[in-house]
Amino acid sequence: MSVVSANGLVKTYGDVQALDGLDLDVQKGQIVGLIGPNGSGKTTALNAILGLNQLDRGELRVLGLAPLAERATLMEQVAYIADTGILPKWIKVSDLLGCVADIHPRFDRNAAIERLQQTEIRLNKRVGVLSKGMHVQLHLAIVLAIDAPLLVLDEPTLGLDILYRQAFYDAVLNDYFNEDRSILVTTHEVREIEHILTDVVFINRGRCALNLNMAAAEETFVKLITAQGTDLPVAPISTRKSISGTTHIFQNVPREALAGLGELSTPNLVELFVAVVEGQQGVQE
Amino acid sequence: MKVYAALLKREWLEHRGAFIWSPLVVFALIVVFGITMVGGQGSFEVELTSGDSSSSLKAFVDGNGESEDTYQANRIGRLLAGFFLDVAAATDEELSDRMGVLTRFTAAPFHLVLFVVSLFGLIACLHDERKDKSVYFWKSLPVGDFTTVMSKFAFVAWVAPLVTIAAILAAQLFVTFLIVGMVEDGMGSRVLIHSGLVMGLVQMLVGYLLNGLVVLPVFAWFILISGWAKTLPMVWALAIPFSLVVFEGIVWDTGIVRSFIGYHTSMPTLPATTVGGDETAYAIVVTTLADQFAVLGQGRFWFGLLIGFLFFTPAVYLRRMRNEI
Repeated sequence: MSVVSANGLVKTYGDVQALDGLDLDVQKGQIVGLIGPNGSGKTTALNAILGLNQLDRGELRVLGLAPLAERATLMEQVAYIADTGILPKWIKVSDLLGCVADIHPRFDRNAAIERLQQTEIRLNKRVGVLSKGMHVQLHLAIVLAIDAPLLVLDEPTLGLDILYRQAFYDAVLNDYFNEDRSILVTTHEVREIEHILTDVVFINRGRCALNLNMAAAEETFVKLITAQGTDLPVAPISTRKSISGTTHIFQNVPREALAGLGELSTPNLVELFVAVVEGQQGVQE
Repeated sequence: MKVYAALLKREWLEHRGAFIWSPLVVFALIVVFGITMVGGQGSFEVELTSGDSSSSLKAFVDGNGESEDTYQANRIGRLLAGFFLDVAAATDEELSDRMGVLTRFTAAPFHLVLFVVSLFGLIACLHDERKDKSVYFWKSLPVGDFTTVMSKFAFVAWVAPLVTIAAILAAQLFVTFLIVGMVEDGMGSRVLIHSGLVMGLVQMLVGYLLNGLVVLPVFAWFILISGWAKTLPMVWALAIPFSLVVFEGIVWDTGIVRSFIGYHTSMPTLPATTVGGDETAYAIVVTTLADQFAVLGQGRFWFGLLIGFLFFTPAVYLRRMRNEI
């Protein structure tokens, strides 16, 4: 059974088509990066998965449940961190932990306290006085103490300095993730999570632009840097000029076919994302 | 039930400041007022002395020679002063009545303040969590929207009043012992025996239990507006019913909405509500438990419940569908 199974999701806000037939599949043991430009529909998709909005059309099941109709049951098995501080600011840290412990059957309060003891966050402090970094640390401590098979992260490190960001993903990878769990993450800092992703979904204009297994990326895509004016045997999906030459991205082209034309390598996610999204926009325009 | 208890505790953590401080302020004012009274500095220009049965006190209590305006203006002083008129000569029944009047009168400002604080708490309950985006966190916990909305109502209707009841009891004890100290020797024990504080406490508990149902349509309306309004929820919550009252008055010359609001905000199950004020068309003179339960026999009570649940339905829907403002 898929952890997340989404087929043809459609959501419109007035004249804006936020989702336009999005397909998405997340399996157990996957860390899926949902990457897209601003306004591409990432947050709308995540909100639908979390049961926070109603879709116009499409089929969506998360852990076998309908998110909006069965949100209370679903949230026993899903943990979530958003892009902005969403913890209530009026509450003390200890009361917040007590509150979650009283409500959530899969929350381990002692585990959360143990994690907080490794930070500068004190239990008697109000959440409102914590810095943004501490706020995220606190939310992370709560989420990691929940035994949930799915973790959803929506730009979780936005506005944090590099040390916090690195520590955040280290904790998620080392203390949460295992083969029985899944993570769905969106971020603009693609480079930071590139190395932890098992799969990536590029989303553009509410549709899935590319669904790629990271292990297969090397076989599927190749980057070639040539001198300007070099003739190419096959058409690339993207070409960009730079000081060092011209960079081409090819899809499903054997490396042997490009050998000798220039420097070959595997494109990183940012290069791939730009190539795919720009390529599609070029086609549409 | 465990989740409901947890949610009520959550509401307590969020709102305890308002629901603790407001009755404490009223209590402090009553203490100041009581001490002023004992010091003979009250607004009623008579000397309150032990066992006073002077003609000046009697004239004051009866309002002899006063204009209607002066009589109304001195009503509170008269109410208190009347207690001291011939205490020794008063029968047990008279003493109980007098103590009943005083203790219920003491409770009245607490009820009023609690009602106002409750409205502010309710109008914020679904609005503030959207404004500070904490709604995303609360929705990430395994609790349904119906349960959440009901817990917010139940807290204000039945949990928050417990603090006020405790404060009322403390104020009533203060007033009772103030009187015990003022009456003539030997009368203090009679005052205590006929203070009616224990029965008063039972009646307050019963009163608030029932009042939660009487006031349900009003509270549900505030929760609904809290979930609906993007800005100025209190203005919307008051302006819409006010407009309806004015509209029906002008167009049809009727007062159905006004009567509905009047009944459901008049706290007809609380013993203090009719004491020291004019009886209104909605009020029942509540002195016994039977009087309190009389609301259950009123059609308007059950109609109010129906309207309240009609308000709850969209409130729960809005909690489900709306996120940040």
